[in-house]
Parts: sequence; structure tokens; C-alpha cells
Amino acid sequence: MATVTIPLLFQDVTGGTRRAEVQGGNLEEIVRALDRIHPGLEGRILDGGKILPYVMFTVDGKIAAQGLATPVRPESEVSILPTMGGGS
Amino acid sequence: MAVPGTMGKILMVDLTHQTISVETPGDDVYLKYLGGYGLGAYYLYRLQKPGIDALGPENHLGFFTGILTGTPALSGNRYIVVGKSPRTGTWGDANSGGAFGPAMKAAGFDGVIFRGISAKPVYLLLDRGQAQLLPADTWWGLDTNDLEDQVKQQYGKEAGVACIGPAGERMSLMAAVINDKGRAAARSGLGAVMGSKRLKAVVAVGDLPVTLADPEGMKQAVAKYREGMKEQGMYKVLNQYGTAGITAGACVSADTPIKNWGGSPDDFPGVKSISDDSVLLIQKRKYACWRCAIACGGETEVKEGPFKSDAHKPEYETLGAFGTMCLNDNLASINRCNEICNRQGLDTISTACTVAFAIECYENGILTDEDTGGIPLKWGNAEAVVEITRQIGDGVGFGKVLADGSRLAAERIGRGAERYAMQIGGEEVPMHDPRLNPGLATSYKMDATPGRHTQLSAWTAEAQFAPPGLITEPVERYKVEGKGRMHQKISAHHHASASAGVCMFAWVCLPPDCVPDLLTWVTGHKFTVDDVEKTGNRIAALRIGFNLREGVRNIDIEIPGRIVGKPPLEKGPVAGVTVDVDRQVHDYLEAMGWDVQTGVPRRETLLALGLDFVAADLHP
Repeated sequence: MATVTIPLLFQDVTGGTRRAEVQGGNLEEIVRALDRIHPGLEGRILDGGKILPYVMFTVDGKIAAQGLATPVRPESEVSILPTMGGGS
Repeated sequence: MAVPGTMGKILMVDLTHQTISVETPGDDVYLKYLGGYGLGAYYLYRLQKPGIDALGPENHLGFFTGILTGTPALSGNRYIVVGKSPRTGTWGDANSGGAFGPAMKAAGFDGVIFRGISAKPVYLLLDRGQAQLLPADTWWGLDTNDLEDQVKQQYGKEAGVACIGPAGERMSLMAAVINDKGRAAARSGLGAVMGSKRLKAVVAVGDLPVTLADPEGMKQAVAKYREGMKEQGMYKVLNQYGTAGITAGACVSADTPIKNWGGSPDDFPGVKSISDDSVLLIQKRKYACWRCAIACGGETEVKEGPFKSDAHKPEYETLGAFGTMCLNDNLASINRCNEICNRQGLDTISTACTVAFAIECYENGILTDEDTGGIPLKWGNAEAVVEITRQIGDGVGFGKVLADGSRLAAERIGRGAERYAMQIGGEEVPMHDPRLNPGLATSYKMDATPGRHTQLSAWTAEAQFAPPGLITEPVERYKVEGKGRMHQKISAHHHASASAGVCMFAWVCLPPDCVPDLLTWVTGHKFTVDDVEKTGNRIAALRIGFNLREGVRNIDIEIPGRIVGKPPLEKGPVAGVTVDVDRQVHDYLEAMGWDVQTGVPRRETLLALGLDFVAADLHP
């Protein structure tokens, strides 16, 4: 299962939880899996199926260049980061 | 009666002769320039001769609020310090928030202009419409935090103070003007100009009201725009973290320069430890500038260890410059450096970038332990970063060599050190990379204050945080065509907003009709979106006119190759990118109505903007 770091930006939805272990082959599946644990989180990250401009993902320390299609391995470290402008 | 929103008074202070007089600008002057650096440029252009020494008696140093400063306008709390910059020899300005701007207005003045040099240290007291120069002998030598404590003790906790620290007294060209202990009008080296005049502080006391033409209309407009602002992603991130929230995201996307502009995100895997949630772990209190809903400020404390420190929360720029640029992932050390800079009165961007420059010189054998007094200036050495920052702040040891920034330090060091000085026109470059958002290169080269990121332009559209609705066409990051017009539009609106006294971070969360609307409710004069754009173009042309009269053509200012991808990076998100600066600048100059060969605003452009006096100088 991939490990996901969730910023305090979303603590109102996560109750302050900052890490989660979820299953998914790409970021889209990871976001859906996170929303099952923390209902409402998907709506804070995506809008109309797109990553919101103040949210950024990294997978294993690299910017997620393919957006929601970015592949995630079971041992991947995924980070959700706040950002000023756009980011995948 | 003065234009509503203004106090109707500009104070003129001659420090050589210790005289004070009051100037009453006409309504048209306020409405054409809006305050801030607009009004500042209007006065300084007319008062000052070209070619004077920026640290001499003939330089004028202005402190200006905007029409919206001290009103209920959203984040209307800014003041701007203006003067000829001793760093760049160009127009200089620096903008700060906190509570000083509104305090200055409540003390009865829209602006103060100093000239001359006082024989002894003094401070200016603004007190309910009155002003006097008072001795500051006992304050000279105090750091900015201790001074502010003294002022509050003497004049009450509501007193506003803008001051210099010991770095400004020594005329370090990286010196800032500090208010509220950690808000900084930092760029352009204007703290050194204040020091050259032996002016320690401006103290503002009073509770005079700022008149509004239509208080009820203003109240409703502010409520409407505030709700819209809170829906913006930028608001959410800033409200949660302050600018510290974007540090990791900016680094991994390659917005932040890494390793003195020579590295890529792979070189700095520890960035999470100096960003967002990590910074909140040392935050002891959150705070807001005067009546600001964003509330991005904070106070941070490191309670133990070698970097014990109690400071304002480091901004993104500070975290990037002392962190990413130096490959330093020790947050406590950055908090300590921030404390040193705030207390001594130093620009954190220039100071940290000069430290990064020194590190690269040391790593490449240009500097040795003999030069540095035994400080091992290695990448990522937190102890060395703090110690050299302390020496710069105290003006001792190797810090004396670095105290005026990387350009002069490179001259003093010699041995080819200039190749590592990442400065533009004498100003160290802030933490946003043109290789990711190319519009930055045009700003860094062509703004009247070279190397400036806070004069917003097309790069905000490239980075997807331009004000909602201002840019409606699709934005392609690396496409040149059309960016000139985009730059002109964003920059013009921002020139007007900044002059009026609105914080940049609020501005990018607000639609383009907000500032004209607020100006209308405050002044009682109708402002449209087009009026505001024209006003911004006027102020931009006036600022650049100041440079041209000084003999500085911005088109001749060079950007170090590394910053624009010459040669390009070989790895990371911006590998292979080279910015076509010449084409970008050409496109921008066309959009501005300025000559594409010389960068001089055309005569007809100046006349259409009502800048006849500038046209007379530039087109005799």
C-alpha cells in the first residue's frame, strides 16, 4: 500500500490525520481511496475531475507530471502539498 | 477638503536644516497617482536631480501610504518606502504591511519626504497632525525589536514605528526598513539611505479618522469581495500557513532556485522539513496585519539547541534563500537567521543569496578558511550559514566583505567570484525561477527596480495565480507571443493596487473590478477598470522615466545566464529550458508603447498618460 502524507490544510476533513496507507495504481485511485477514509477530501483536492490549482502531488519525491494518471507503486511515498499556483 | 481616503498632507522634512513643512497635493494628484509609489514617484521625479549620490544629502527618501491604506478596504494596510536605490542606482521602492501604514495615516499624514543629512541621529514623531524631529542618540545602536519596545513604552502600544537596525546605521546596502519587529520594506537598500540620513525611525501616534465618501457603500462592497476572496485557493493556503506553505511545492516544481541557481529538486530532498506543516510546528502564534482577513503572519520559536530563536515566521522567500539556495534543511537555523535579519534590519533575500554566493565561492576554492576566518562555508552547513549571517548582521569578520551584497562582495574578493553572484543590476534575485515561469525574466530585467518579483506580471498567469478574471485567454507557459500584453495588463493593475495600499496577496485573490470599486466608494470619484489600468501604466512609465533620467536603460541590464538557462539545466523539471529574454522584452515593450530598441516610453505614450513633464525630459 502507498503511504500518503496529507497536509494540515485539510485537517478540517481529516481530523488532523497526516498520514494514510491506501491502495491505488495511480493518483486518481489514491484520491478515491483517501476519500473513502476521509469523506469530503476528494472535493478539497479535485474540481470537475481536475486537481485544484492550489494542490500539488509528488510521488516518490518527484512532481506528478502526469496529473491524476501518474502511476503509483505499492511502496510509493505520495505527498499532497499546498502550492501557490498550478501543480500536478 | 482633502480627497476622501486621504489626510491631504505630505510632510517635507529637511534633515540638514532640521526644518519641516507641509505640502498639500491637489485632488488631481491624489487621483492620478493614488498614493504609495505612484505618489512617491510623482514627488521624487520632480524634486530630485538625476545623478546624485543615493547615500548623499540630495537623495530624497519617502514614506507613502495609499488612498486605501487605513480604510476598511481588504488588506488596505501597506506603506511604501521610496528613493534612489544605492544598490542599483535606479528607482528604489520597498513595500511593507503590519500596522505602520494605517498608524501613519491616523497620525495625520499620507506621506513624508526626507532630504538632507542630520548632524546627529534623529527620529520623526508624527502626532495627530503635528510633526517634530527629536534626538535619537539613545536609540542609535538598538536593534529593531528593542527599539520598538522603547517606542511603545514611551508612546503607547498603538504607536507605529518604522525604523532601521544597526545594519542600516552602518549603511549596509542590504539594509531594510522594519516595522512591527519583523515586517520589512526590504528591497532596494533603502534602509541604508535612512542610515545615511541618520534617521533612526519614524514614529506615528494618533487616532485621526480616515474619511470615506460613502461608508455604507464601502461596507457592502468589502463584505461582498471578502466572501469571494475566501473562496480562492491562494487565500486558503496563506490563511493556513502563510507563504511558508508553498516552500516544498515550489521547490519540487522548480519554481525555487536551488543551490545558488545551479541545482535541481533532486539536490534538496529535505525540503519538506522547511515547509508548510514543519513550519507550523514551530509557530507559537498566528497574527494578521492591520485588519487583514488573510492573516498570513505568525511568530515562531525554537526553544532549545544551538539555533534557539524567537522570530516572525519565516516567509517563503526567507525559507528558500536560507534553505534551498544554501541546501540547508535545518528549519531552526533558518528561524535564527530570520531573527538576526529582522533585528539587525536586513533584507533576508539579499543576505541569504549573498551567503549562497559565498558558499559556492568556497566550494570552488575562490574562498578559503583564511578568507572566512575559519568558517567552513559548505553546502548545507547550517552552523556556517548562521554564523556568517551573524557576522553580516554585526558587521564583523568576513561579514564585512559580504555586507553590501554579492556584486560588491565579488568585486572585493576578485579571483573570478563574480561568476557566482546571481544579481540583476545589483539586486539579488528572489525565489522564483524564470526557467519555470519565463515572464519573470521580463520583470527582473524591465521593472524599474531590477530583480523584483513583487511587481506582478505575466508570470502570475503562467503560475496560475493571476487575479480571478483578469486574464481570460488561455496561458501557455513557454509561448512568447501575447505575453507582453498580458504583462502590461497585470503589471498595470498591480501598480495601481500597490499604490493604493492594498496587499499583493489580497489583490491576487480579488477580481479586477474590486480596486476600482473600493476607490470609488472611498473617494467619491468614479473609477473604472480601464481607469485603474491607465493609472497603473502611468505609474510604471513614471518609475521607468526616473531610471532613464538617471542614465539607466533597463534593456541594458543583464541577467546572469544561469538564471535564464544559459546553459540550460541538465536535470529536473526545467531541464533543457532557455528563456528567450530578448523576444519577451520586445513583445513587452510593444505592448507598453515604449521604443523596442531603447526601452524609452514613446512621447505619445507619455502624453496620453498625462506625463508631459516626463516627455519633456525624455524627448526634449
